[in-house]
Amino acid sequence: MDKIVSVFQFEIRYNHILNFSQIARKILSPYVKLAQSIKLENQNTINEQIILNFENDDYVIIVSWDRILIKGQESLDNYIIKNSPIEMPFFSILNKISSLEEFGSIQNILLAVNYIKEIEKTNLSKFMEKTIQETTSNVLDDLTDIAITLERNKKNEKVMLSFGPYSGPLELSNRPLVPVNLKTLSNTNFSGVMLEYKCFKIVNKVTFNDFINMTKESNELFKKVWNTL
Amino acid sequence: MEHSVVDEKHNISVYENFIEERVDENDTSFISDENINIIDISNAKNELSSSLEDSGNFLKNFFLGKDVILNEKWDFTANIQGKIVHVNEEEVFVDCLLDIDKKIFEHRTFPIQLFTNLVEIVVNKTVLIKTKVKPGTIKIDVFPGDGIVKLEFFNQKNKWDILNGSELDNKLIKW
Repeated sequence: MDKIVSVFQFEIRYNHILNFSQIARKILSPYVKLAQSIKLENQNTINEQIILNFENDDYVIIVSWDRILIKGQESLDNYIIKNSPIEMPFFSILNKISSLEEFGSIQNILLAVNYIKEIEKTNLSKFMEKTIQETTSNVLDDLTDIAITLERNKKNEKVMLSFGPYSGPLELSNRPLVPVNLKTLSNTNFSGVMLEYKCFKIVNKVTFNDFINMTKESNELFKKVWNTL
Repeated sequence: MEHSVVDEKHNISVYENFIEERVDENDTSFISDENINIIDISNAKNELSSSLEDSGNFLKNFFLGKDVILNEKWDFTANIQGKIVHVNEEEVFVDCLLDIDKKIFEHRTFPIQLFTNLVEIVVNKTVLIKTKVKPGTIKIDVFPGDGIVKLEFFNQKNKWDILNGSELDNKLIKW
């Protein structure tokens, strides 16, 4: 069984646009016809958020006064092809926003991806055997869960990896980033491994290729971790 | 009068939040569902009567009725920008922009029935063609491109302008 992306979120943050609530609807209105529904948060306030829900395709786009983000699930492959939802409508909306007179500049970007993959006959103790020393695992009696976190800090870039045993769909709902729609995800009822990848970069320009490169890195890191288990 | 006082207080609190966010410019956290409160505008009655919903409802309500198409999984989805270049009684001919960076176009023909949801099917009208593919199946949705599709992408006249003065259009009178 191949890995499943239980959820991913790609955020592009920019300088706050103070009159966002006054101009956002005009910018986003042409895209409403592509979405199945829309929702508003903090309507008519300085930090209004507009949420375009593409439920038939299991992704949402949220646009606010300081960021635009897309959240999807199942596989990243669908999102790195030409004319994918990342390119249209996500980057199309960003381009419209960035062409505004009120727009300052892009501040940073963030990609978060959660993976799960089945490992037959795995459990907590088997995971610990392969990853940490016995003395460490014995620190806490009757251990019920474990996760290993790796971090890399470079100038203008931070990568965080966290992985541990996966025991079923309930775990997906308890993470900070939950799937867009658990019902439409592939079968998640298995035991295996869960990995959370988060990459933050300080940039002032972002393209579709940046997203592709970040997804490539996350896929490669997942593969590296997988090979250690 | 009382209403305006409430509004003023609200604006002050929003401004305070803004200051806090500015301080934390390098925040590596993402917007999690726990932090999202939603006003549903799909129902005017709800909008008037309800305040902010909790985040749990955000996802639950988004996908009501989704169960009926649980098995419909697509290998990939593409949203292709296009411009109608010719129309006849049965077909619509569209220039499709496959690669924005490399300016790769493909001339595609579709049955006219796909376009009957448009207000008018005329030459130079822009469209967005959504294509979903899985083994044995393709699904095509056509949307009006107004406000989404950039017409200037389809104006590649400048490519030919660089040939001006190159005498490529001179008659071949000497061999």
